Amino acid sequence: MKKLLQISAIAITLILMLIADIPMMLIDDLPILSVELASEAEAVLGVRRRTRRRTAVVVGSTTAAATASAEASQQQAAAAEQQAAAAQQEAAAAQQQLAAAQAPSGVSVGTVVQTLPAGCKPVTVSGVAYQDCGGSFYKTAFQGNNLVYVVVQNPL
Amino acid sequence: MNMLKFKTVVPLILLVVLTMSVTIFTETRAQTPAVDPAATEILKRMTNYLGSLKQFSVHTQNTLEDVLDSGHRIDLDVSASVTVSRPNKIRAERKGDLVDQVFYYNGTTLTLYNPSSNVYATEPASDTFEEMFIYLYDTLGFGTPISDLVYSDSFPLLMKDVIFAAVIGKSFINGVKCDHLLFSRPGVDFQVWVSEGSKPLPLKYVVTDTTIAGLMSVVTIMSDWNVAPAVDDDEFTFVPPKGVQKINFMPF
Repeated sequence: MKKLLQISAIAITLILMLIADIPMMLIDDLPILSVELASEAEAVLGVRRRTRRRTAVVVGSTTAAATASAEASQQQAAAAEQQAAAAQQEAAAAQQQLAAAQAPSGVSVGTVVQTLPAGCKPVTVSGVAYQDCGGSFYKTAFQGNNLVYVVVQNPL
Repeated sequence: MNMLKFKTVVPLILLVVLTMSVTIFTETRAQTPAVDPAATEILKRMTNYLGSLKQFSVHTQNTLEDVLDSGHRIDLDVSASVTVSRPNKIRAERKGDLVDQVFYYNGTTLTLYNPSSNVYATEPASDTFEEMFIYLYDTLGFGTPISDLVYSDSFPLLMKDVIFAAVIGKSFINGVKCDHLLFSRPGVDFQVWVSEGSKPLPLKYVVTDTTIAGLMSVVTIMSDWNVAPAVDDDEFTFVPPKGVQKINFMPF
């Protein structure tokens, strides 16, 4: 009888421990619970972190391609604008190289820059406007919604 | 006698405990689906309302988080005034760090005009918003922020690949009480604040790129919503001012 008492006591203790674990486990696994429990910004950030972890798993295992899927407008905007910012930096770098090289007419046709080199003069040939930058000719164009300058053949 | 008591009590406790734990488990599961229908229901109400508007104008403030090569975190801002006339007219004036331009679309042509550089480019365009935006993105290479506002039904677009949705709570944007919703799809978290009441309009968007460590976001605050603006069809067609230079779009 003592034995039975001991066994049942252990069994009950084990089960009680299990119960204590279940809610904890659920809170960790299901992000929404923490939203309901706390409305503070921290909780929201917590959701974001957890959601992200979950997302990462999904991306890794199944639908990586879906991530970049084209039509989510804002996502596109973000990407486009980030590209724009990156392009701007690249253009600035290209610009410096250009200035350093000091080869006024040696810039290859098709080169795209976001800022014109110093000392350009506007010229119009057959109704088309160009910038004459020391013998290199640039035509203005839109690349996406960015204004850029493209090196072209001497139109004169 | 004592022994008999234990023999009956122990299994009874076991049974109760097991039932309780199972109940706790299933209840929690039932209450927390990954996509909360309460969130999608509010989003649906918003997209239905937006789709029902014949004309509207709105002011948007877009903030793009960026990191300089030096490692410093900066914001790039674009302020825009958008006027939409369904089914296929739009005019958007954008000014900011990256742009200073006016976009015109009148159902047959689209034009991008840079007033500060005194240049513009124009292209023939499809007669629907959807195809025009696809052309803009795929062929001309530029994305249009919040173009989903313009679609007649953006609900499927916003819900595409969504694996998690929740109502975060109530909040105030520019003094207006809103439902704050969160939608997540692989790589992108999307938050939207929808005003309460009979005009469920979006007042704020936050789109977060979750594929990068810094979790960069684009934040859009929408204000001055006018759901019945006085609109003249002429304002969607670009008339080149004197001395403006026509340029081309580079193929993307």
